[in-house]
Amino acid sequence: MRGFLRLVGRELREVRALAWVLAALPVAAVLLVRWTMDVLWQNDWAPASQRPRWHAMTVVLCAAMSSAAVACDMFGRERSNGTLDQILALPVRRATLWAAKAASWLLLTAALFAVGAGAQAWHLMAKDGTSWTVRWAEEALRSAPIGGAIVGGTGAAVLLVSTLGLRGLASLLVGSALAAGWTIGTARPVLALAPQVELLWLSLSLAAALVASLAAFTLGRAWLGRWVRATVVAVAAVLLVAVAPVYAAVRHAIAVTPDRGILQDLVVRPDGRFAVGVWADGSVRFSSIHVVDLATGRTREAASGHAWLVVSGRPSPYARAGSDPWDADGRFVVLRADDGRVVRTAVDPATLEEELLGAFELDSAARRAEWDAWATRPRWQPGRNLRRTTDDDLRPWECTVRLRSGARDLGASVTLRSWQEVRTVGDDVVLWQPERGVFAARKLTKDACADAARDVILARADPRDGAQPPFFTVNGMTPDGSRVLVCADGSWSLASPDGASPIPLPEGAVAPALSLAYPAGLSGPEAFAAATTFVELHVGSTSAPRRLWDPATGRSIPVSGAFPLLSRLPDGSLIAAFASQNVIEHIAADLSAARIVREPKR
Amino acid sequence: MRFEIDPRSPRSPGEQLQDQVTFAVASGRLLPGAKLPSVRGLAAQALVNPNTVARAYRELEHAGVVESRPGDGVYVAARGDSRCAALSGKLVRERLGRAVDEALAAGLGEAELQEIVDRAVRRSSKEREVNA
Amino acid sequence: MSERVVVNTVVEPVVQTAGLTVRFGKKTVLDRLDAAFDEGTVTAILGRNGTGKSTLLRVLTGFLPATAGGARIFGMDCWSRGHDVRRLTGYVPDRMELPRWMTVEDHFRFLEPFYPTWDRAEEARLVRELDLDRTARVRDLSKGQREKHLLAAALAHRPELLLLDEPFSGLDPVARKQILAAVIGHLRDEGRTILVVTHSMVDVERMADRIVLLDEGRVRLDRDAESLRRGLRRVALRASPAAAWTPPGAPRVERSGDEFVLAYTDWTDAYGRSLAADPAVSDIRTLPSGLEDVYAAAGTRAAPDASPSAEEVPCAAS
Repeated sequence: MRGFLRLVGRELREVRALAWVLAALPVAAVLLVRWTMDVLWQNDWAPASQRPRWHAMTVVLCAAMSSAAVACDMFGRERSNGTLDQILALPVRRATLWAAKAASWLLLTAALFAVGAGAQAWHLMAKDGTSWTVRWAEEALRSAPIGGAIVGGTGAAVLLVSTLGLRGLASLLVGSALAAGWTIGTARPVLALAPQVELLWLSLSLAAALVASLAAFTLGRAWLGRWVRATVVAVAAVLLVAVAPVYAAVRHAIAVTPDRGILQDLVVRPDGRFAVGVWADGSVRFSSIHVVDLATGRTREAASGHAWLVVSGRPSPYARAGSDPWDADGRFVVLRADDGRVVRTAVDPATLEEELLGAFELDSAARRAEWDAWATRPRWQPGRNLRRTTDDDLRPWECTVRLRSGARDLGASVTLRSWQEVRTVGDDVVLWQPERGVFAARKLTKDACADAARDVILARADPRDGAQPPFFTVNGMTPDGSRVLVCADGSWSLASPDGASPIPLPEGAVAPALSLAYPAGLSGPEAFAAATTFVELHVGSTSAPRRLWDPATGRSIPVSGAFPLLSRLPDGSLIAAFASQNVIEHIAADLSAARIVREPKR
Repeated sequence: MRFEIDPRSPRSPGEQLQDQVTFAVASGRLLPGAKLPSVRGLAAQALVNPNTVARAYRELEHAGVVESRPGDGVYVAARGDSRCAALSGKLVRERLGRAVDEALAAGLGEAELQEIVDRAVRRSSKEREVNA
Repeated sequence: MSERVVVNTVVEPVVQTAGLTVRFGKKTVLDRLDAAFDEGTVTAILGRNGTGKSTLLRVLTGFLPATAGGARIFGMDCWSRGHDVRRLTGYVPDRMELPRWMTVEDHFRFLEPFYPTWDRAEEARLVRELDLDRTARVRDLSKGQREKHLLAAALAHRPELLLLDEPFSGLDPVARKQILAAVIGHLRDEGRTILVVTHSMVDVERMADRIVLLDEGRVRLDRDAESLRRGLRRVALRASPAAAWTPPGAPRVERSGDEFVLAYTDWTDAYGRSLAADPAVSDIRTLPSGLEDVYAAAGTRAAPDASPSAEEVPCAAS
């Protein structure tokens, strides 16, 4: 063990000056890019929403490229000048030697990571005042998985090939690993982008990979001449560094994407000037608010933070503040639950200034009650989560819900099983319930809980003897449960619990989803009552372009993206935000003429 | 006494050690019964392989110059002096004979040769006096 | 061979190669080498540059695998059990990049944990004997000091087997004498085995019990040093008629006209008497002869740059 530690110590100490220089270069490069990005941010050109990703990428890149430089030095050193003789003259196994190398390299890499995260934390702390340690941990955690993959891949490649002693191949692999890591790290959100952006990005990455590989390869080729090699390396470095801002710029030009979360809500100011989107990371632990300037199509991040619990005035079960989110000054009013505190702030969409309107502390009991209420409320489950449901699929999950109709407590409770849903429709409480061969809405009252409820059979399938039991797919349900998009054995229809006959969807429609467009300027039950139902569908196959279909008129327009949150602008045109891809894409469409009036900005 | 190896000598290190012991005994610098350095001591002093020293001692023992007493060391044999006198005489005769051959082959006259020998003897005895 | 071999006939040789072949690409550096080196002997491995001497040591130290055949030290395969072999072996390579930032002391402390037999007293003795400065950094050491430091590092764990690769090349006389003394000092314990690759004949004469001459990857000559030294003899003579004349024994013969130079490795007085009695022979002269003549006498290939008429095989140039 003592010998092993000596070996590790020696490895650490032996890292060459050149490796240190190479390790420092990416730090310098990234800092330069960061500085550029900061300038861009200040000028409101680059998307603020890119910041967290950039922070993480800064750490990852610094550490990964530095680590690669160190790895090349550590693993390549022995062969290059023959000192392996000296090391192997020691009575150690080769495996021990390589293990010592790997251990020391991991140590160094971890240190580089820590330094990168530290620098980031310091950088961010200066900006937002969050405590240094919290920031550090956040940055380190955020970048660790991607960084680990990049660094691990790089190291493994270098180790493998330096063991084999094939320098050319080693160079190629190192370059490729770097580039692949870079691509993996950044391409994830790209996959949700428009195909042409994805293509551009991937080709840039590929170019960078190739040139980087070439650079690494040429480094070992003395016959190429110093200047040729230097040029190739310089081009590779420029490409690698330049790819990121180019990517950011291209992306910004086409669409805007917060770095994480799913779009929860989109509300349009009554004057139609701004729309506000709310993203949450899915656990309501972190959310962000983005303001969309509908005149220019530009999106900026208004605020983000931890424990954003509640926002918006959307009359939906998950919108806590049921009132109009816009105050008299046209500011967006947000209700945010902090740890033990509920804060009300107003965000001016024009200036992005946030003003604290009030806060109140929750004692622990109240907090628990708050959370209990959150947990036991009738869960709004998008119908699309329900698939192939038969009795066999019912899981032993039960939830007792007190029945209320509007503000009126019915004084009864009902036990829900599996994905059964409770909705209120006007004064009725509706229990959506799939049963064998039947999908039904059951209207409940206090009495109905005891008596048999009036069933509205929405879909029925009669399995023949020996046939598979039928299944229902629910691909959408309005928040109040008054309309549901249901598929029984392949045919889709839009149904409601009042027994009105289902509206059949166009022939050949597949995988649709249901959305509502709320009129701008209205909130609460009025908004909902005035909401228009749209169905998203493919006609022909799932690979066919999506269309937004208005069941009221039967007209449709093609859209990109899926599962839009829709709002109607005062002029009657439609704005769609596509939540599933985390991209706010604005379309203004005249559905009466079934045409797009304003295309997404590109 | 000090043993040295002359790297320019045509004789091998082992032979040189034998010669040096033989001449020392023949000249009376080492008397019968005198203890010789240990194998390792002599090896360290003369900077030669101890095996070489051991072999030289064995050769000398074989020639009756020295005798080894197991567990004690190597001593000049009781009649080592007379043997050495004979051995060294033989050695000197051989070497001088070869030198004379070469000198005559090189075209030197007999008188010149005699002159050279006389001068060498005078120089050598003077050096010995100085060293003594 | 020395008598020690007789003692050790029942013991397995310390170092043994069997059919050892090493090829680098198409070049065969060691060619089916069978050799055994017994305990307690010092063997000088001679040979011109590129004849596989250092390669042999690299195989023995276990960081070069044999292309075919194999080598064993203390009965252990040098490649598969290289780490065990190295624990019992002291090795001074001909070219070694020591960690330049370490001091002499640092390097000793770095090495110490790897050798269970590391002996601090021996280390202190070697530092004294070799006149080493423990606080000096490796990068500041002169060539002689570096070589001495390497030797001390190789000897401080009192190895049973010592492998020296060109320990004397390019050293000043003082350093060289100190190194020789340290190696001789190492031999004070019984059973120490040394293989030394060197071009320094002076040191070979002092150290070696046995001389192995490698040529083109094979053993060209393998003799007890003392008998080889006696058997080496170069004789110049005139013979007429020259054309039909053959010398006694099997010397290497260089001839120009009726002048012959005969190089023997197995000279005996019988040859001398035979020559003296030969009526065809005249002008017999014994040429100055030393161990370096082994190259010529054993008939290793001439250096590519050596002129055909060169009488001396250029030991110094090899």
